[in-house]
Amino acid sequence: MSSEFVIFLTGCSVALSAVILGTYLNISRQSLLGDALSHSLLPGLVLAHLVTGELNPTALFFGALIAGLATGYVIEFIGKRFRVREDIAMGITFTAAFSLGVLLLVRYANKSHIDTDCLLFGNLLFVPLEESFFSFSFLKHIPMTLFQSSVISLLSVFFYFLLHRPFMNLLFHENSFKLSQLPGNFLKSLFLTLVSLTIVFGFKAMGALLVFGLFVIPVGIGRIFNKSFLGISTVGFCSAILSLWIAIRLSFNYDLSPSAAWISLLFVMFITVFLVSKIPRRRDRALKEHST
Amino acid sequence: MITTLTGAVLLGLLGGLLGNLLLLRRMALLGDMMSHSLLPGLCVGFILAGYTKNYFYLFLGASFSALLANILNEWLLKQRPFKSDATLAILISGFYAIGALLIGKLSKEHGTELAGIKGYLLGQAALIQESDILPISILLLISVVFISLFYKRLILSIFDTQFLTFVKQKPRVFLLLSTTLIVFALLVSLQMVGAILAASFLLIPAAISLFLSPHLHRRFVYSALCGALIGACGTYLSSLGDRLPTGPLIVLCGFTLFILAATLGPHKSTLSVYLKKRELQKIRLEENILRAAYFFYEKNEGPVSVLNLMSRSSENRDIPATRRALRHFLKKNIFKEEAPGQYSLTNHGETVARSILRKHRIWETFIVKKLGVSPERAHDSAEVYEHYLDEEILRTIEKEVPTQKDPHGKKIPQDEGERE
Repeated sequence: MSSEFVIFLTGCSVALSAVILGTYLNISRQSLLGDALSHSLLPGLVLAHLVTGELNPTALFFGALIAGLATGYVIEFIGKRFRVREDIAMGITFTAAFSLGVLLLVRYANKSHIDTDCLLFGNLLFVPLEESFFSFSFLKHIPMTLFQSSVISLLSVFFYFLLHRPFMNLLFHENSFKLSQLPGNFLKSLFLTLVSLTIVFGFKAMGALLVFGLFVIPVGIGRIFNKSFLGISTVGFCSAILSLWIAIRLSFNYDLSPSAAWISLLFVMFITVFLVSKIPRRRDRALKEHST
Repeated sequence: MITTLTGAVLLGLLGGLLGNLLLLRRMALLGDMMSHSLLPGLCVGFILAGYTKNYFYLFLGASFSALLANILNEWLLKQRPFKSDATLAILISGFYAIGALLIGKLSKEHGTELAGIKGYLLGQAALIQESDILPISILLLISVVFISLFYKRLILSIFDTQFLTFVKQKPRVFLLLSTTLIVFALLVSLQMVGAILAASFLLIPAAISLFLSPHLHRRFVYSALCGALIGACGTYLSSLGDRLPTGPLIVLCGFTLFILAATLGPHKSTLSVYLKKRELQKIRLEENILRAAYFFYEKNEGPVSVLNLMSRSSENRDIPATRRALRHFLKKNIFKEEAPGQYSLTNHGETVARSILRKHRIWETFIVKKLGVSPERAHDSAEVYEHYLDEEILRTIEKEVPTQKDPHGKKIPQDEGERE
């Protein structure tokens, strides 16, 4: 496989799960949860590194996962127990988690290999150079990150097909959820796990904060055109793929960071689409006024 | 050390003061959004200054891009499909991505000169220099004057823009001015805590002050003081050892103080809510006892026991609490102990108890006659509402249903004033 194709595939699979999960976040007005989780991975990563003393991918993975889940629960706990608005709870929790991470990093892991640049910016270009998870037949050409992110995007698709209805009920109609007798806390944790996993797998390729962009901007574009869940996700996913392809071409030609170019492009696309979507409405209004 | 401490305290005062404005706008994370949006501006400033670290250009670029992000946010919010969480999230990631793109490109060509700017992201916890104190204090002074001069108009520009427009003021001007102040505050705190943590200087003190006072103007003062306190604590802790960055320590101090305030603070904290509940329960218990006592007094049954007093109320099942309440009543000369374990109302107690029974019976009459509730159910309702009615409401209800007897045929005690 050519390296360009591998990068494209990795981007697509991260985008798929991010867009599906991001749509849930958007409609439940929790878009900033992705922001909070992507910041609070840092202490988990640093702690995992400090405990194992090396850069063991499994340890890093579990560290980040635990940090993500813990943040989600702390936010919910602070919000409910102290009766503060959710955005306040989020802001306080993730800045505290992030500063804990920075503190640990500066204090104990100064000479370690955890590169804050990687956490902040990531690099898709390194994905084709990674070793494979498998060591046999054609699968050994599949890089680790690509494998991980396609697994998580498959899981997200399963989540949508199997648990969409109950999860929507849990978010918006608690009484009918109770009728279905499904474990609500388990469903919430499952969702939180999926979000954290997407960020964990995505951040190596893209940088934590840029994965967060993938959760919100395509969904924003989809939201301009559409109201239904499937519509929002489809439009969002298509725009994400389109801009990914352009971003890869641009970054190869002009020597840019592909992930940053991708999200910047999506942002520009969002603003443009939004502006354009406002034009016909004004014309409609003018026509209406003219006819009356 | 002294300079850093002064700087941290001043920044805390500033952040605490301005943070309340953000919290009131229901956009706690607006500060976070603005601090992320400084990044592309810093890069553009770096380019404009000819690839050098010229503070003037950096500040110019950063404040321009933060204001731009803010204006975009207002504009997106005005349109239909987006709520504040979505707009903030989109702008945070969008501006950050552009910044990351520029930094990635610039660091390949001008890596060495750029090193300082990258430090702004995480905060290098660099010691504040004496030359930094002056701009911070000037900004603090301006903010204090601005907020105290325009306090009412600022609050109105957040809560009631229509009124402000009606009295020929311009709400957007105040919003823009306060936003500009916040952008400058973020810029001056960049060096100390870094862009990502700078926003927490705005958020955490204001969030702490939520639990300190119900009054808005006091919250402003408290949150400024809290900001100063956590600034001082963080600086002190970071001076204790090697490689302890100031910014993260300040934030962690703030988080600890937030948890403390939320559990123990005087307003709406876990502790104060619990105490209030206890107080309310005590009042209900006492009123239930008094009503029961008056019931027996009306029947001329003489002194009654504790169990008698409890038998009249379905919600009173706690013997020790009842005994405690009775001891309290004995002290206040509401009950007298005729024989061991046998109590009766004093003259003073009789008046107090009568007023409670009056509430109970008037409420019963009201809901039976006006709302058509059956007399059996009216009693249960009255057991709850008798604790919450005040004299003014009672008189109004009495005028609505002028009667001497309640639905169970018992006499309604008259108001003290009317009896004489």
